[in-house]
Amino acid sequence: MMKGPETELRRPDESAQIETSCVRIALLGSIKVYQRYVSPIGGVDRCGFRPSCSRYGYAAIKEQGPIVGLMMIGDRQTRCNLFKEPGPDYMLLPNGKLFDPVSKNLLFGK
Amino acid sequence: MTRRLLLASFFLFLLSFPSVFSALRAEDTGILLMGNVQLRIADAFMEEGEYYRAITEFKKYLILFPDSGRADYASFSIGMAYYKGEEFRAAARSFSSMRERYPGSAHALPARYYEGFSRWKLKEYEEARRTLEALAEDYPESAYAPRALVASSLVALDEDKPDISRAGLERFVDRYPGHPGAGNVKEALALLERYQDLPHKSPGLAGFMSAVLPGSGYMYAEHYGDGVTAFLINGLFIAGAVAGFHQENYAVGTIVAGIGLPFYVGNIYGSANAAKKWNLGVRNDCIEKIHLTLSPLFEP
Repeated sequence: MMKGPETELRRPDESAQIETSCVRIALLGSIKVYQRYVSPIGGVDRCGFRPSCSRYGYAAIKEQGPIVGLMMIGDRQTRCNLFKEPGPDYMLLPNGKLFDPVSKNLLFGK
Repeated sequence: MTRRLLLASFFLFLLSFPSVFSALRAEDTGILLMGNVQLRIADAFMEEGEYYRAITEFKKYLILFPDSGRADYASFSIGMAYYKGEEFRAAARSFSSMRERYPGSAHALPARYYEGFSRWKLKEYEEARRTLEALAEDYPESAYAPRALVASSLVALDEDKPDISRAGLERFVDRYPGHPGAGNVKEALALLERYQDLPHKSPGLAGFMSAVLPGSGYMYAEHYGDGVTAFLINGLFIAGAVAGFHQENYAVGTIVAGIGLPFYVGNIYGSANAAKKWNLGVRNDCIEKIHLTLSPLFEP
C-alpha cells in the first residue's frame, strides 16, 4: 500500500463523544463492571469469538443503541455455543478465535 | 630563437591548463537533464513499486517539460501509479484530468478504462458502469471495448442489477462472437440465469418461527447448533419464569423473565439475521463464480 500525505492526514475520532443516554450509560457501565470484576474470576480469554462477547455487547450498545444492542447481545450469547465452527459465517483467526464483529450481524444494514 | 619559441609555447601550454580544469569544473557543477532521462527515472521507480516516488518524478517531468510530446504519457502514468498504489480517489481524479488535457492522446482510452476501474474500486458503481459502457460504445473496435463491456456487466452485478449485467454480456456475445473470451461470457450468462433464480429464505418468516418456537428460525436458516441452543436457553428461562409466577413467587418470576427477555428477542433477531446471511452467502457464492469466470478477460 502506498503511503502519502492523503493517507497520513489525521482525522477526528468520531467515537470520542460524551455519552448522554441514561439507559446506555447503565448498560455500558454494567458491561464494564462485568469485564473488570466478574470475567476474570473464571480465567481470562475464554470466549471463542473475537471480539469477545462482552466487547461485542459493548460495541453493539454503543453503535446500535440499547434496544438493538440488547437483541444483538442475546443473539451472540445464543451463538456462543459448543457447535460454533469456522466457515462462511465465522473466519478463523490465527489465534484460534472466530471473527464475528458487530458489523457482520446488522439485520437492517447491508 | 628556436629555444625561445619552445619556451614560449611551453609557457602557453602551461597557461592553458587552468582553463581546461575550470571548464571541467564548470561541467561538474551543472546537470544536463534530458526529458527521456527524467522519464526513465520515473519508470524505474514505477517498476520497483515505489509509486509515490514515481509520481513525484512524473510530476517533475511535467514541470520541466510541459510542452513535451510525452507529457500525456507522464500524466497517464501518474494516474497508473495512484491506481497501483491503491489510492483510487486520486487515480480517478488523475485519469479524468489527463483525458481533459490530452483528449487526442493514445493514452486517453486506457485512462478512461482505468478511471472506470478506479470508480468501481471506490464503489461508485453507477459512475463506474457509465464510464466503462461509454468506452465500449464510443470505441467498439478498440482492444479495451470488450474488456470494458465485461467489467461494466460485473459492476452492474455488484449494484444488484442482474438485468443490466445480462444485457451487457449479451451485447458482448453479439458484438465479439470470435473473441477468445466468448466461451467464458456464455458460461457467465448461464450462471447469471441461475443467479436470478436463487433459492431464498425469508428473514421475516425465520423471525416469526423463532417467536412462536424459539430456535426454529435458526433451524430454518440451517444454523442447527444455534437453533438447539436457542431452544434450550429460552425453554429454561420460560419454564423458570412460568414456575415462578405459578408458585406466586412474582419477584423470582419477574427477574427470570427480565434476564430471559434479551435471549428471547435476540433469538428472533438472530434467526432473521441467519436467514439474511444464508441469502447473502448463496448470492455471494454465485457472484464469486461469475467474477472468477469473467475476470481473466479484463484483468490488467
